[in-house]
Amino acid sequence: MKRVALGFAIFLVLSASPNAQTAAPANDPSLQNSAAPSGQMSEGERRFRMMLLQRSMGFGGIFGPMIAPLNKPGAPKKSCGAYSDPAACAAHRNGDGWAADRLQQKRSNPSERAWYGG
Amino acid sequence: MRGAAPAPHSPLLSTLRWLLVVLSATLTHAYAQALPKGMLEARPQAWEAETLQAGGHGQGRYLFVGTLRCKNAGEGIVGARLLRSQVVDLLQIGCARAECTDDNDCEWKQLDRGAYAGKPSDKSGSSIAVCPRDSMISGYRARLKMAGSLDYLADLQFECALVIAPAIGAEQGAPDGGVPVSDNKRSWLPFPASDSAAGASPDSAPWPIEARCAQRAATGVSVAVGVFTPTGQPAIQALSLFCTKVAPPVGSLPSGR
Repeated sequence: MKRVALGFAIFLVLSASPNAQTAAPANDPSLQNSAAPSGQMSEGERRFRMMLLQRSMGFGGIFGPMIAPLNKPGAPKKSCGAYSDPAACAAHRNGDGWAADRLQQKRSNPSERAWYGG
Repeated sequence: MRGAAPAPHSPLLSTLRWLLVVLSATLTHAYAQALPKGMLEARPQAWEAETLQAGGHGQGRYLFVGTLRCKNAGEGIVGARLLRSQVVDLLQIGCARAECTDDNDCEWKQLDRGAYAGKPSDKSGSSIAVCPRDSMISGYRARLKMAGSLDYLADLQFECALVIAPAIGAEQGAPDGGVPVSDNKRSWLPFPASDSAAGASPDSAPWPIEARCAQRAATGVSVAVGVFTPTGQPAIQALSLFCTKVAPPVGSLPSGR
């Protein structure tokens, strides 16, 4: 029974929506013409492969569903660290230390300010 | 001395082991797909056309194939963030909605950082380029880097075009009619070099691939992320733009096809 329960729990985690920023949903019609090199893939296999492909690319991977709550509005945000400028803080939170430093030191260009809301 | 007893068989461990084996086998199988020669697999919508594609030729291992689009109808792509090393490692788009006066003086105000594809490497340098507030992205040009028989995006610039009217069809919920832009008032949008952009080509180098949308801002950036074979890192291997189809007037710019 424990084995069944564990298997079901893991299935739920893997099949839950990652609710993270994705570039193209699995049911995007633009992806329906995807074909394996062999060209012999069932619809179910195609969907499963697309799901795996989505989860594999920079959106939390297979652990995406577990960390998805951290990406939701209202979730605790990464601290601003040493950045007091709001735009620099946004860059820091986006993992863009290069732009964060430039924004903080008022050496940024108009593109960086527009991108991070400065 | 007693002989070593066999380890007790744990159903939990056995289940976990089985799941790991199945998962890793499936992921390995999923990574090993290849693009057909030529166009990207992610197809444009019925009301869209695709420009010339840069890169993506040859059989590679593709981790992601899809289209970066703005989230809301009526928005256009106004900027992008690149992470570059020897090649383009990651591309993120920024979107905004243009508001126009009665005289069709149009301007966007708030940029929303949008979808991205790719993955930074430890050698990636970040660079951001955003169009002037009266313009949106409507073209691109690219440099390629060959690695064996495969080509990758080595560098990229977008073209900004002046917005001349508000988005068409965005409020009716119909297929997006696109954002009208000028075919004449356009300018290239360079990504400034960052300290760690090791692979950035000199500005004087030619741009062998160039394409643009006619009369409308781009509706999406179609990308394929593959594995850059010299480093084993993910990289943008192919790119094209999706454009709203319009009836071409006499003497219009070529769409890049």
